[in-house]
Amino acid sequence: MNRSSSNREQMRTLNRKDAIALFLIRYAVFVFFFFVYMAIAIYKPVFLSPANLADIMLTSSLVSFASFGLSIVFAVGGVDLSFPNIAGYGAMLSTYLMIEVGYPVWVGIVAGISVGLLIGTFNGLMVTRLYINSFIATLGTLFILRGFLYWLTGGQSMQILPQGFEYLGRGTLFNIRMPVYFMAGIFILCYLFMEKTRWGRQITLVGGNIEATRLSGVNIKMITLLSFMICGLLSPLSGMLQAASASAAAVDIGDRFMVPAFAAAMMGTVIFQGKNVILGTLFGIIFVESLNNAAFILGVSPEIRRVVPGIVLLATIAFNYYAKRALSEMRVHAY
Amino acid sequence: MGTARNGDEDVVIKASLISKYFPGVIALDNVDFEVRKGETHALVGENGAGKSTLMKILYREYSEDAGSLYIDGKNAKGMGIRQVRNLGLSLIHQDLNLVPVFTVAHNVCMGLEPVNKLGFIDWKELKQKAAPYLKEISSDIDLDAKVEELSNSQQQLVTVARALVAHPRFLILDEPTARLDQKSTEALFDFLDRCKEKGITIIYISHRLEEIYRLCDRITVLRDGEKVLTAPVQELAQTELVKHMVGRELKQQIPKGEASIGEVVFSVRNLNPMAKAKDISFDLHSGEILGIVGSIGAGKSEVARAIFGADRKQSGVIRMQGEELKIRDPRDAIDAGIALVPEERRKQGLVTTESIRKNMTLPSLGKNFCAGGFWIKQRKEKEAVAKSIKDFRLATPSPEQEARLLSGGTQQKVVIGKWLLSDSKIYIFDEPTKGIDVGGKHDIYKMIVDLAKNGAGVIFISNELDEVLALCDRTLIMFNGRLVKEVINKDTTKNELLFYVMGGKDNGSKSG
Repeated sequence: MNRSSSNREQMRTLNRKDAIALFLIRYAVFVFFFFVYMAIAIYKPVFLSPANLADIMLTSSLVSFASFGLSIVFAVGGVDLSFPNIAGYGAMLSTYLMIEVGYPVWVGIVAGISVGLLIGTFNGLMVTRLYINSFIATLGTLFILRGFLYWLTGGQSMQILPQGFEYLGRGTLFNIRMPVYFMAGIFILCYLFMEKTRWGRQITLVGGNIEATRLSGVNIKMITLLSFMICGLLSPLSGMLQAASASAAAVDIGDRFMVPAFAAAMMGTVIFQGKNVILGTLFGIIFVESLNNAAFILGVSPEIRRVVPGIVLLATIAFNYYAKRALSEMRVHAY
Repeated sequence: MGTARNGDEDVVIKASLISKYFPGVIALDNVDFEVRKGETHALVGENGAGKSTLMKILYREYSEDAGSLYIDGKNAKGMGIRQVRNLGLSLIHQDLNLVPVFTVAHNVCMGLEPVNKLGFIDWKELKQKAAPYLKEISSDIDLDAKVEELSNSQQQLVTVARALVAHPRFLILDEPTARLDQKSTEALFDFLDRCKEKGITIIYISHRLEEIYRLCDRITVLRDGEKVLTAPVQELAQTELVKHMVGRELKQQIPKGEASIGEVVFSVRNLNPMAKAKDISFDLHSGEILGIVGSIGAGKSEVARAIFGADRKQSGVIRMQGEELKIRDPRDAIDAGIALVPEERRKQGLVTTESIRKNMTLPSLGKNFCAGGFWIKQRKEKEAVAKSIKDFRLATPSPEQEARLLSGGTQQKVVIGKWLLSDSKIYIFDEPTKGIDVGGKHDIYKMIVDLAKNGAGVIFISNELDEVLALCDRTLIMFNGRLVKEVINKDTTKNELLFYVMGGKDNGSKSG
């Protein structure tokens, strides 16, 4: 067509300055972290030692399940604040069944996952059937779950876990701790689900524009419910792995990773401007955990260290805002 | 003051050799633009021709990369929006930037609220202050009404009233009639006539030829960032003008061959949507393009949305090839082969942050592009989208381009394209050419004509009588929620359509 070809003639190729600016905007998070890593590594070479990197991967892997689940809820346009307590239920129920009742490990795990799935379904139904804003709905769930959990357990923690269960958290294969393999597995599953399947695609599109997606015949209620169910299913796995690797399950087990998981998922959502959220979240998890680790190595006090994920969270969101604006001014597509 | 340092006495806005670059794009290329005192100057061009950029430079939202600009003899270089406003320049945006929950009076006087001794807003005085400005443009809008309670048309008129508060000497209107119904359009034109009598200089951006010839003295045509010409409107025939705008000859506005209309494929009986429309019944034949016209608020969209299941309906029977359909939501409609190209393409038609590819395959993903309804067949999807891009000549560098970065016409083609990939049989178009440039409209008409040629049934809803007249085989006219008239297009005239659209009755005189 005349018009498109004449437009194309008008399009000048980006000059070098623009191209560099574009690269920096798109990958600023990575550039930033490259320099941060370098700075830390020069100051404390131990930061990049294999043992320390393995440690970062281990702490990352414990958070990863909840974080991936949460990022899927973000993708659909919702939020699940109750995930730390879903994790707590999963961990407490499974360890209770294994220790107090004496069920085999696999029964405990299945039960832990099931209770998470149930709570996730409850969250999803509140959002899709009662039209409650997911922030409010899951905040309510969070309070209820927390109350019940303390009441059920009397605040007691579970200790001396079955060996088979502990192996899942503490065992190694080729010198790498088991949870890291699990993280790799769940990453691949989530990635394939979000990028290569119909439901994953529809989750992203519902999050992009729920009305346009509804008018295209997508079952938006089912899709929204599904993403809350996935988050409910994945969160207890984080709780159980945490318990397995620490050889103890406490009531507040989910609280340890609430902020890192949230920060990582939020970061994952914005790193690639809303695309490829699972890969983004993986980077997010590793970034957050390695900064936390660096703070530890640098001798920052534990109280101050708790601030780190919050700063990362706000910094990424602010960065995303500016990147988006800059990209839209440049009229170039963002990824 | 008023000393014309540049050229003749009459020129009040003089832009010389203005250029504006965005990375990768030349938005304006050495454009000269002159407006004379007291004239109404039309600025036309396709989307992307540079109209908006030029107006934003005039209004100092952008600054030019090269060239000079004099407003009322003053060099505008380095001026900001506030300074040009003080020079008497007012811009009426296409977007409604009103506060929906505030009253009309408050919106009109926004930012200039009179206060009493205690520093609170003096509501009584505010109302008195707003009244004369509103009266200039409309006599039937309540000053105490909240803006959200008004119709789209009325809201647009409020934005005009708001612009008047600054007592402008230069008025820029950016497609002011896009949201207006027939009656409000007339009110606006009367108002502009009065402005002219008062000697206010007007720059009028429009996609509607009719309005330009009705209102304007001179016209400037932009194309691809360059000025094509400036000429008195009277000396430029409509076909010439269109030719200059698109840079190629449009033989006919709508290339419509001989229609081959078949059996009734789709019928609606006693449809009652939840709001506005009542008791709608009609048949649609295969290969037919059926127009539905009516002013804004007549209930056209409500009918379309009720058929498609986008809104619930009170009652009504919808049949496809004689078989009754149970449509409770859009999924049911899509399964039955009905497609809706909705009125608001950015809000309802597209996920603008996603790629052309993902938008296009959205409705048909499970049906046509998934193995077992689950795993996406990436290659098949990519091939189908690439073919669509080629077939519909989408102006895009890549199928991965985000929909928000496309021009309005290209966006609409993506919306239509997604239903083509979904093998629909009945297509409902709700104002598909709204806000789209001439070339884009042309392409969309062609897509619709091709659909009908291939045997689909098409329902075409529009406010623009000309396009309905030229495109459709038969037209239904709605007034105040009811179907009032059915006409065969080759036996009708625009006057007749307009007569019924404006509520004329069969037995009354047709002089209206």
